[in-house]
Amino acid sequence: MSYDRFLELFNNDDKGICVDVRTPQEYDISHIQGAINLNYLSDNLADLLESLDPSKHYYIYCRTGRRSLRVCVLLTNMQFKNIYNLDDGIAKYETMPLPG
Amino acid sequence: MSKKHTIIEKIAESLRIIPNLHKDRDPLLNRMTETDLDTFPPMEKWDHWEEYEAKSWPKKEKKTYTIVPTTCFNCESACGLTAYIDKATNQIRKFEGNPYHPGSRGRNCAKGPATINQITDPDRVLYPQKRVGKRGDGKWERISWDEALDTISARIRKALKEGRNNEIAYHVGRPGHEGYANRVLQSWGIDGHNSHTNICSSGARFGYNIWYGHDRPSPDHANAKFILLISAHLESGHYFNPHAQRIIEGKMKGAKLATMDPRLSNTASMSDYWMPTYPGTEAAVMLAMVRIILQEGLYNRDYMEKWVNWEEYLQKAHKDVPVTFEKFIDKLIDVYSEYTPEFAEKESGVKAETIREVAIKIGEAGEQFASHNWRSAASGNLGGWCVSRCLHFLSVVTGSVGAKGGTSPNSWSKFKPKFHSVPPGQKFWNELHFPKEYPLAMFEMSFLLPHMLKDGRGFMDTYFSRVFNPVWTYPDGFTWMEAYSREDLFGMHIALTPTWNESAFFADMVLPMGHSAERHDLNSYATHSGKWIAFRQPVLREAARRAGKETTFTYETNPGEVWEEDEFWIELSWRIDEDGSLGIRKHFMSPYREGEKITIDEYYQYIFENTPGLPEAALKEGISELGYMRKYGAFEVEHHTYKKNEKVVAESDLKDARLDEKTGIYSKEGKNVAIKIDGKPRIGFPTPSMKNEFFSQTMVDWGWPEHAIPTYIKSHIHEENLDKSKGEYVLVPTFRLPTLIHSRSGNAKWLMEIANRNPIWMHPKDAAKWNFKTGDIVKLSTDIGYFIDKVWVTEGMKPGVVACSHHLGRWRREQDQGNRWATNTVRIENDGNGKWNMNTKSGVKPFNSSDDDSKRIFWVDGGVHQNITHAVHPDPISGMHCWHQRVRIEKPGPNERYGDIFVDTNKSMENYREWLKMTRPAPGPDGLRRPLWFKRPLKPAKELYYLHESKSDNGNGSVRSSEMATPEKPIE
Repeated sequence: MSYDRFLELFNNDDKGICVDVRTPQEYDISHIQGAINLNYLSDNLADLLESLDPSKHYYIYCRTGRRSLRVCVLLTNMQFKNIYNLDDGIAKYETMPLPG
Repeated sequence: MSKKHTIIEKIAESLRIIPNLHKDRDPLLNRMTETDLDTFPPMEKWDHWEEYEAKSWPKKEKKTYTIVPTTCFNCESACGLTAYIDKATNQIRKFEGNPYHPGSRGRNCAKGPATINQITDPDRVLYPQKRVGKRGDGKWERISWDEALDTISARIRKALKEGRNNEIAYHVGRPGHEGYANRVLQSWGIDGHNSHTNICSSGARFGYNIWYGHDRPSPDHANAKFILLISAHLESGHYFNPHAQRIIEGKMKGAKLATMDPRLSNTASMSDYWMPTYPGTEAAVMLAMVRIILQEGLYNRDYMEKWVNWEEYLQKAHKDVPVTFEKFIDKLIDVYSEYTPEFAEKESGVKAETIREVAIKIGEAGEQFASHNWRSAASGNLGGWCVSRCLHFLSVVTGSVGAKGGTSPNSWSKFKPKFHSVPPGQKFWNELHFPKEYPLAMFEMSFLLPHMLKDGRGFMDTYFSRVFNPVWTYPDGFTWMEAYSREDLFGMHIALTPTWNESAFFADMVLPMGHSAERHDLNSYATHSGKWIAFRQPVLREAARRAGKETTFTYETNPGEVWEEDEFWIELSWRIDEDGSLGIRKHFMSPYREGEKITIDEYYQYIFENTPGLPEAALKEGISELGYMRKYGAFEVEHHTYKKNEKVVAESDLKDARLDEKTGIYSKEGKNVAIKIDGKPRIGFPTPSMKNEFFSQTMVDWGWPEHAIPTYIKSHIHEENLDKSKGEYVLVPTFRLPTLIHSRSGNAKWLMEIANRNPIWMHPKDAAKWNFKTGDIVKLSTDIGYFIDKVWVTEGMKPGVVACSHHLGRWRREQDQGNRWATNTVRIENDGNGKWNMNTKSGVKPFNSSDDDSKRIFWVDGGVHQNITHAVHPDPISGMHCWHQRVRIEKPGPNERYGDIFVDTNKSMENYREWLKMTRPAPGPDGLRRPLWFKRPLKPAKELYYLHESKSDNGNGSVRSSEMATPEKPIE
């Protein structure tokens, strides 16, 4: 999914939760407005994923798309239904001001 | 002539994105050197290298490393690795390539850097274990190395004292060591070497060996004009990383590449000619190509006239014609008249025009024709050895054997170390390894071991498996499980392994041996025209040495108590021969300290100081030979190894030799020592004629006169042998995935992440017959059972053929440990009468461990274990297991699930006996059980080669020297 489409869907989705799966340090530098941080590299990733509400819709991104894709697959394996991945991540938009 | 370079290539060269191929680095060889990798840390900084810690990003945190060279163990290429060891924590952080390694030249495939996963795998075996409870129950208890050594040595000592030498065996999956283990076994006086080779490369080896006495090829891809691969060496296979880089180098200089493979592999997709041959018909295509080259006059007369035994052929097979070279060529064209391009097309499915075009290109390439076949078709088919035999025929007619840009014998490039002590040939012949039904088998009939044991042919009292997992890797794994579970067949099974595996589950002891960076080893492989050695060393031990710490045994520096085979064998041998009376200890004495036990450093120092050129190189740097190898990890012994057959033999070596004027052969003490070519005595080839043997008297003498010259044998899965109306197909089960290696990569998380399932490749036309779509489940029935897999519908598969990678489908039972990155959890049931069922209880899933990545496993499917449903197919000549399977394809029933497996081992035994009937057993001429000129990995005393009518068998399949006939007194 492209960056513009990703934002458009998220901003118009009442059940949408945007999840930044980068490290807290990366998240602190900049992130998409409204995104929560869930560190893919954290020790308790499985617990964090299990704490998510399956009835919500998740918009997942990271820096290049690698970590977010894996989180999407893990959530799919956990029977989550509405998962969206930002292909290629936000790396190429990092020099641009992120919305918000 | 070099290909003209494009502007893009020139720009890429100037930016150093690609090597500068315009620069003439080496006028002789035009190949790259380590200086092309100029971004690598310079050698002078290897003991103090600083770089930023990736995990601290965006913070810039410097780490200091000591860089220690070693070699990779994830395939047999032994590519160079460098371990980056954090000086603060003494932990290995990562592996990169080693630019000083002449084979890999700094480059690695994915498997090299993944060594770090294997070292840090939370599921690895860290301490010696012995089973508690019944074999296979999965209950283990930690023991000390001392207990292991004392228990094993007592058993072996008892067996040796009672003359039960043939009840001790070492069964090796991944060899190496350049003669180390063989020396140990011969010091014990046992015929105890059993290898994996007859499920690997024996087929191709036989085809080469029968031609020129060397059993493997070493192509000079970088300097070739045309390359023909019967394999997938741009992506996988033996020596793939060293070969792939040289194939690309050759292609960048204009070489054309052709690949025979029914599957559109990555290699085939990079080829100029993809020749999707029907499996097993490759020899027919190559004979057609040979004939075209002969008819077009593109053959190399000079080479053939000098180096082929054509005179012997005419004298024996065509007594009515004059013995002239012209008549030989006429006869060749006549004898092979059946092999037209049209016939080859009918057999293989490859267009006659393509066959003709490729043949002409090969003929035009002449001496610069490089080719390769290791396993692939030669390992898949009844008569697969004809594939490499006919491939070498192309090398012979083009005169490219041993030429620059051609294909040399591998042994010209392989280093043979000089040992401080060489035990004599053993006085035993183990018929479980070389049974008389297979007198020409290139290697031991290892995949028939459980069948022969179940047949009452012997007993294994003390059996070592080393990096060996036949329950999973071999065909007919349930028969292995049955045999391994029986204490009346295997008295004690000791698994020497870096990882848990499906066979170790049925062992009595599991002894943890190091991964590549955790042990010593010497490597030398035929990666190109050149000869090198590489030093696999335990990198933490070397780091400790650099830090001034003394180490006695390698397990002191490795994780847990992971040891290494080299030191283990020394300690074990010493304990077997408590007082030296068995004559074993004398082979493990220090060459430098009289009467004292050798150390591992002394063992390698002796080899290195006897390596040509190495003492001089070490002297230049003011360090010892061992110090040089510790520092660089590799040494180039010879820069190139072309045309060694032409080397003139020194007059002093011909003293007392007798010259046979008719054959031109000089012989001394019953051995051929030179052959006269161009008026000079030359080394020649190690065959009876000392030439390339187009005509093989050996094949005639051993009962196969119909294969005296290169032939084409229709495979057991030839279309004529399949009933398509019943859904019968050929299954090609042999292809490798570039990132995996048999069962060893199961504990490398990065590799499992890349590839983790093995669906059935099927062409859309075939899929349409059953209305299969990608992801549907499919049932494939073999001669002994069935397995249920998923379909991958792809045009990358030849219609009429299906394929499945053998690299996946790892499993463990509920009670087993290890490899959770790769294994499905399965339920195995046995009715007690040979019928086995396996079902998947759960796939791969995240787990808690010391490695946080284990919680992030996103793949759920570990694939399906196909080999366990394969019947054994021993080729009656080469002894190779013919891997391809006749399968019946159908839709599974309503109660059948993905991953279901069934095998009837009674059918396995029936099948084994059927194939046994195809053999033509020894004795051969003079009562021989094997041609004297054929190699054996562990060569016994010469008198053991002779069968005796009244030999007595001591019940364990062994034959003792005292019962042998002698060469002077053969059987009547």
